[in-house]
Amino acid sequence: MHITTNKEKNIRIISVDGKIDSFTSKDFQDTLIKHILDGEYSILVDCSKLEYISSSGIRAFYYALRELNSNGVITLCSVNDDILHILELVDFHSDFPIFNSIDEAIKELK
Amino acid sequence: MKTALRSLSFTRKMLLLILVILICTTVAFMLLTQYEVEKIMWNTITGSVHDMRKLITLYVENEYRSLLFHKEYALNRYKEQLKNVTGLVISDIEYYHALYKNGILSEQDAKTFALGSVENFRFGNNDYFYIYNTDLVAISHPDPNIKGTDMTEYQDVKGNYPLKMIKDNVYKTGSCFESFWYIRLDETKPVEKLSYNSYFKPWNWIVGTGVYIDDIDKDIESKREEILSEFRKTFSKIRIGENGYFFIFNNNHIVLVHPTMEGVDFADVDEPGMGIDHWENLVEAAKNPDIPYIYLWDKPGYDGNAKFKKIAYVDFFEPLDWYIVSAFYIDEMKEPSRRIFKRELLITLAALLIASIVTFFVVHRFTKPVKTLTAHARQLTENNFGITDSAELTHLTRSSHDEMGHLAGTFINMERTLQQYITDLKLTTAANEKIRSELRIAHEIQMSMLPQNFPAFPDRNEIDIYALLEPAKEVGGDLYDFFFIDDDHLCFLIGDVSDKGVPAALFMARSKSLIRATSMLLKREQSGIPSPSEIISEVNTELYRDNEHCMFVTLLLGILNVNNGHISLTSAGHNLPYLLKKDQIELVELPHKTPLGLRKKVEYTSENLKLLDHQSIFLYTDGITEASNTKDELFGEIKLEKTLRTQSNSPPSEILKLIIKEVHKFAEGTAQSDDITMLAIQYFGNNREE
Repeated sequence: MHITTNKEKNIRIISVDGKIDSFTSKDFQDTLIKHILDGEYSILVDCSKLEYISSSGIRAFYYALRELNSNGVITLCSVNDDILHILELVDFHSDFPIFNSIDEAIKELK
Repeated sequence: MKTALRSLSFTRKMLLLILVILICTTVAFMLLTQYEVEKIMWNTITGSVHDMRKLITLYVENEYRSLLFHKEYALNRYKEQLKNVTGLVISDIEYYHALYKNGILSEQDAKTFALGSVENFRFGNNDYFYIYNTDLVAISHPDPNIKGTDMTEYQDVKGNYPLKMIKDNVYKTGSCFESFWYIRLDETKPVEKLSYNSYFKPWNWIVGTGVYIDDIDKDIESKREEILSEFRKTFSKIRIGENGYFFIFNNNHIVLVHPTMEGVDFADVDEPGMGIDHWENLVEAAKNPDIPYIYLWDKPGYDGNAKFKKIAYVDFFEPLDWYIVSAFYIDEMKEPSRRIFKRELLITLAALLIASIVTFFVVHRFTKPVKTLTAHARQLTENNFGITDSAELTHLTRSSHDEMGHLAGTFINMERTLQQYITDLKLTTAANEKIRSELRIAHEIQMSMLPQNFPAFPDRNEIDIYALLEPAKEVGGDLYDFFFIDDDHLCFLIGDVSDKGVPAALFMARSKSLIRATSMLLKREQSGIPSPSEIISEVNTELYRDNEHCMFVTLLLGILNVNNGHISLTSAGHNLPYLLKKDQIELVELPHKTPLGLRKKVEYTSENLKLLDHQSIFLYTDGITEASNTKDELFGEIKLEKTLRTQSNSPPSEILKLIIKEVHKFAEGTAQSDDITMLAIQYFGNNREE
């Protein structure tokens, strides 16, 4: 897994390349937490290069969400169909809005 | 031998090598020297023997010549004497003839006086004169048997007719010497007689006398004895080698000169080990005087078995019929080289000893660092790679700047690396051990929470239930459960905890207990069967509390009324179940809801469906669909559905076992990354076929 971040307006964009599984989810979680502690309140996870997410990856999102403590939002974009299928199963979008593309996300979030 | 050689220490190997080289060189050198010395000795001795033989032959020849000269001289003296005496006798006869001529005596008287004078004449050793007439009748002879006899046909013992020969010769030359064999007066053995005869023409008388040559021969014989005794004296002093000698024997095989066997008849002496007589061999050898004849013989001082090899050169001196033998012992020829060999051996042994000692010290010095290193290495292993005293090695790196010093340096480095590595390894091992024991605990917690006795409800004809959980190595945290809330209602569930290991196992255990407890609590509170959504909502709230790590569990919970096949089902983010109807399957669509433990409050809903007789419901976790193979492909829902379709009428246990078999087949040995869990219930209603 490889993570790159950049900021677009007020949105902290985190791009994940590879898999978020039980081996890598801790790194991913730490990245999210670091930005939240830095005061970021709008985090967009770009999933265009995400290959797989395991339950520990889902757990990382919820952990970050609780750290945000309703003072912000974590969103996702460009999620592929396989992953979307998993996320839908756990009603993920009711806590983490999912956009089709990064542009759509930026447009909606600004 | 090979193993023994291998197990020798380095020092010993070096020592052995050097000693072997030294010994080989020395032995080769010594053998060569001995060979050369022997060759030189042999040439020297045979050369000197050759010279000696020549000298001896010359000596014998000289002596023989002097003997011949002596014989000639003696013969001439006799001849002179005979001539002189005969001259005297003739002048006597002439005197009487002159008396007759002068008319003093008649011819008859003159002859009678002359005959009488000659007849009584004696000289030397009773020697006499005889007179024959031309008819060879002895007219004067001391022997009365001969006197007056015609001796023309007289043969001497050798078959000659001596008187005829005399007559012929005196007619031609007037006088002659003639030899013949005669029997001496008072003797029987014929002896050679040299006669001198003169022809007295006036009366046609042949006047002669003779001397016996054996006088000369006796003289010669005594001279020869003299020479022989001279030889004996000389030869006894000559030695070839230590015990070699010269000896002489004649053609009558009588030993003439010999240090020990003088006078022995060689015909009585056998040659040990050879077929024919010794002397015959020697005579044969004389035909090739320069080819050595080799035989076995005794040595003076060694009696009995003739075991000494001897060499003989035999020279034949024809005039005397002598065989002159130069004989010597082969072992004595080799004696000097043997002496040299012994001395050399002593020197070599001493040199070897010194070389060994020096080598030992040198090699010891060279190998000492190796030994230090070895000892250190042993200490290292004995201390279990703990801290060792490396002062000696450090000293070695400073004192030796050669390969040994470098080696010691490398060794110290290696030791440090090794110690560090072992420390790390110990820590890693401890950590691994911790993980392993955690996993074991997790596994034990997980499995102890699951009902595993099947058939689970042997007295219940309405249903057949079967469940299976195959844990992954790391323990996923899957769970299943089933229990009757009351006589008619079977609660069943399947779930998957988000984490792994002990925390997941504990969360799973807690979830399971909460579900059972909540079900019973709600039943009592409501005095009726609670719906799955009610149970799940309660449990969610409970799990959310104190869930710092945001663990969660996806859950599928159902309650089956065994009397009529009605099921109410609630999913909390779990994979949807399948309904197995006759020859077809159906995915049970349920609203997607958040898993338990993530949100404080979630509105869960229950869906109702109905199982007809012999229909089944199949629940599973994503361990099946996400099982991967070597090509990183997933088993997936499609394969699962395909398998289910072929088994829609089978008993739950068969379905589950077949699916797990298919998954394994698909995985091709790839390690299972998540728990695999399934649960199936077949409903029979009241029409179970036995």
